[in-house]
Amino acid sequence: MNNPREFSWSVLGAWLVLTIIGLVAIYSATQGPVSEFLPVYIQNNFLKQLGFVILAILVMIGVQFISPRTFLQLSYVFYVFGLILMVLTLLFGREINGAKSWFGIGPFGIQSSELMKIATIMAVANYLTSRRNITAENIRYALTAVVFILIPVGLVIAQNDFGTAIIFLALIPVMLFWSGLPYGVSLFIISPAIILYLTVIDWKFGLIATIVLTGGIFFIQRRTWLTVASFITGILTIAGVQLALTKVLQPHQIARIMAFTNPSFDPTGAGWNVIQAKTAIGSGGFMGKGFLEGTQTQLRFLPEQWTDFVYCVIGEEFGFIGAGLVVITFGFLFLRLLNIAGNHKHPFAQLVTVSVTSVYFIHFFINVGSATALLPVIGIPLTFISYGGSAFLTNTLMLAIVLNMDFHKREFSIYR
Amino acid sequence: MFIILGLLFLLPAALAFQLFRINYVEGEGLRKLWNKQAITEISIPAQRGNIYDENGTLLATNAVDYQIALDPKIENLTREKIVQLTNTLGKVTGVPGSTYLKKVDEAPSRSRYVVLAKNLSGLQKDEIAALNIRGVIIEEEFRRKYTFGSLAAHALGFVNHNMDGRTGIEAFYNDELKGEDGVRQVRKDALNRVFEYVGAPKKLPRNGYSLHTTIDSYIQAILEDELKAGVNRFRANYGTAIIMDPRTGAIKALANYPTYDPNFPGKDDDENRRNFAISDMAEPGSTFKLVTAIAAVEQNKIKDGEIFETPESGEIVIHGLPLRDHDPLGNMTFQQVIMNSSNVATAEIAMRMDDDDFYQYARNMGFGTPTYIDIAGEESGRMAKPFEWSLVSLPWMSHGYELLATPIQVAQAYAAFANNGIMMRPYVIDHIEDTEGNVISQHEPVKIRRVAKEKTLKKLLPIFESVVSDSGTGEFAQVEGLRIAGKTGTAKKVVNGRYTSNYRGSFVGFFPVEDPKYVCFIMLDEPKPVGYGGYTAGPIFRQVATRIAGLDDDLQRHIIENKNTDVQMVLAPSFKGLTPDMATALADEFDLSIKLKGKNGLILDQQPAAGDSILSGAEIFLTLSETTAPADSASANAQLTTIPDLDGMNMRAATAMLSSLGLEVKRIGSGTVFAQFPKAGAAMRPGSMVTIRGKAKSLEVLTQTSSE
Repeated sequence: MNNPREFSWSVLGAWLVLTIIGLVAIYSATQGPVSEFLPVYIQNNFLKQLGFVILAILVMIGVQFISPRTFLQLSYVFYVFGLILMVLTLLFGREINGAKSWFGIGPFGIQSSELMKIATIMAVANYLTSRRNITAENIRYALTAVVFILIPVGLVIAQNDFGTAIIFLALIPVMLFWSGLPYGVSLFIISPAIILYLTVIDWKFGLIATIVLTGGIFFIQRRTWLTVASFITGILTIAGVQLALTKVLQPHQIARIMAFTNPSFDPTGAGWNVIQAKTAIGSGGFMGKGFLEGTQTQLRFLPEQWTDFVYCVIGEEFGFIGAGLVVITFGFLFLRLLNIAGNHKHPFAQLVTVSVTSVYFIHFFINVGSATALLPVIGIPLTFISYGGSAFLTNTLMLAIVLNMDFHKREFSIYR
Repeated sequence: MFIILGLLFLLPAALAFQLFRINYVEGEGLRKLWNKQAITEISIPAQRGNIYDENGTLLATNAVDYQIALDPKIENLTREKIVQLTNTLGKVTGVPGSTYLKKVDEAPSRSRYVVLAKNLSGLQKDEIAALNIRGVIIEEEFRRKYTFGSLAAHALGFVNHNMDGRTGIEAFYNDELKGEDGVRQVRKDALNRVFEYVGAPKKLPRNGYSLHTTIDSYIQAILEDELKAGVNRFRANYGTAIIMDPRTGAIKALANYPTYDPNFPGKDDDENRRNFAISDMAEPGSTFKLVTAIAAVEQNKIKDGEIFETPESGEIVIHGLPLRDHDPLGNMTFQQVIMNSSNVATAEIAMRMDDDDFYQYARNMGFGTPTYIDIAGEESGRMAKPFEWSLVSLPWMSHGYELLATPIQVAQAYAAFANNGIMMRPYVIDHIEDTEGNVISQHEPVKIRRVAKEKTLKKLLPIFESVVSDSGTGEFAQVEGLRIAGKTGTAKKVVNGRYTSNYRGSFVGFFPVEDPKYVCFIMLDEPKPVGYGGYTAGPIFRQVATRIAGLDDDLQRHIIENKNTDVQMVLAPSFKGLTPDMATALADEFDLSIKLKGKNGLILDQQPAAGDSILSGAEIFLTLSETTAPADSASANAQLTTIPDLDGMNMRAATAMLSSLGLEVKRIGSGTVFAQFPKAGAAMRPGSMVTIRGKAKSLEVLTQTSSE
């Protein structure tokens, strides 16, 4: 058994802080005076979450006794098992909030796509770290890795859960880049996302971004075809967005996008969430209104305040300090995890750690970004804080695996 | 690698920046928005004040009704519960429960607010509340309740859905009645429902003041009842009536028919809601002759005992315009001019006056200006100034044309007459009380001005009293035992600028003459088949006065006394040509006293003139010829009796007079004497037969039906 002092207690501490903040926020959002407006099954969310937290602690402890090589060896098995589970979900799953992503027995359900995250990460990490020299010329491996990721993406989209699909897609550049994909190609892969974001705000911004990114790719990579491809992709993205906004998308979808760029455009409809979220955070002030005192929360002005807008509850009731504490804790967690990744000798452990960190990061960024109106409202929970038993469990499982590999890093063979 | 990491750090930095921005840059605006949507002020409605009548009877108050709604989508609401609710509702309202169940089932599937029943009473509501079913929404609804439905509807007015007065007292005293709403801070939820009360009310409501009106609901009911009967009997378009106390100007009753129910003001026609009594501007007709009479007497335009001659055709032409009386009236004293309502003679009298003087009298009598009664919706009437007049304005105005007056103005003018020339401002609110019963304001009767000298009115009173006699145009307004002075009015209606053969008949009078307590104005629009005010409004007045007398102990006593002692108006008999002894006998018969001027001879002149209405017991000044009576004449007088002029006397008086002279009387017909045989001045032996013929009253029937 390893020296317990080598265990990364600070990460565990950060996890505990976030979990407690989450429980407090969920309590406030479902058990406070607001409960009058809520159906019973939502009022029960706090207790359910508490149950999952206890279960997660057991998982956290249990995972520490597994040899890290087990993860390496079983990664493909997990992946296939995860895919089967997802297909089964698609066939027999329950539909909640429009997304058919719940696979459950009796009252207990689990989101198979959550489990699939860690399974995909491990499988792709295993695949990529067993290959070498991914370069701009030799992208066959990279494309294989992309296929590994796109299969669950397709299933998630089939389950009608776009938020999770974004997480999977975001793994592509992160994992490829970390495995040695050239900067330019990585930039090329993420460039459509940046251009898309800016084009929604204004197509001119998108055009500027296209030119800047293309220029950047040219300087880094000096490949004519890549540069041309980048430029064409950028233009196509802009054109696609414009076409989607004017022709393809339904009015309510357009309204949601419009609401992001200009919430006051439709303050009682699509802009409602954005305005109420900002109002909650803004009215919290420096110190907040106090536990169970937030009127935005308790009077049910916020939608989905125990999941997607949980950050607003914290911002309103605990003010700038509470919201800042969340950001700082997450920042600390990310830095520690990257530090752990840097200390790994084994590329598999390194890549899994980085990927898990980036999953957390994307959740964090999109969720808080949505709540603070930096991004359009994309329904994604905040890691460790939002209500969601299976998400909490799998996020903890991922952290447990990361901590396990850190704790047992000496057991990794240098020779694979 | 580190560049990339650095770039990645920009993202959390962006988040932190956005967080900062929301808190500090946009913070102010967001906090305002939050305040606006989270803490709002709702008003605590103040109760509208009550309205009482003179005797403290509640005329208008507030009632609370309950509305039952259901949120069918609420948690744990089972079908059985809904059925239980609808059945209970059916039980309390008497409507089958299935009707309510149908409402629930037929509501749009997403509806969370299905109104099931309205206007439930407190008891009915309690039964629903006792079920204790979650999802039942019970809401209070305040509404104005007029205790007696349409009683005094036009004086009271009605309120709109905001409980703001729209007409009548409700509108005029809206601010007093309304009170001040209180303010309470509340939190509202995202669906704008009140979620909780924040602390104690910020400001308590001050409930509206109560108004105590001068309206007497008994008199009001009588007036409405009789007006309705009159409008129906004479098939009039509408009728309006006012009763006021001439001593103070207090409105005792104010009625219009057709009427409406202020509890449901929308249910009847707009026209029914119109308060004609204060807003109907029209040419008043002969009732306006009061102004001419006062002006003529004060300006000394009428000589004592002057006889006004009217042509046989009953028509004269003034500056090219023909003016006619309702019937050719022949020669008349001033009293008869008023009594018979001669337009021709009135116009002739008026033309003796200066335009400006006449205008001033009319103005003083309150015409051309609003009365400023405290009921909303009063019109001012119209009266042109003398410089705008044409040559025929004065003669036509003298009998009530070429000016527009409202019923209340006419009533006010006659009230001034009744009140010895002091015009009082009409009012309907006696005092205002707050909820604790403290008097906030008390109306003191407002004297507007003296409109005529007392002397003038003393002279005119018997004349206008004679209108309401068997020989006057107001004969159908008579009440036995009650002395009434008044005037009829019949005005041709103007339609599209032309006079039509449709009339508006009115009657205005006051009683008891000894100490006038009530002025009553009645007007019917286009009564049929006869338009005359005396025939249409008169009987209504009579009924109203009779019934008011039945209510009023003072009046009742008065009438009984009058009947017992038979103190009544009598027409002065002709003493001319009689010897003092005969005159004394005649005077005794009529319960009059005489005062002789001179010692000898036959009576040459008398004051008041024969046929004038005088009080029984009054003194008559007789002037003797002072010449020694010729012997033959004396001897003749010993045996012969001069037949007096009986024309125009009522049959009863004529009979009495002839009997007193020792003559036998043969009566043909009844009513007013219009023919006699032998003629006046003929000498007859006592015991001879004198035949008098009374003018047949074609409308005698009317009085009989109206007294039923």
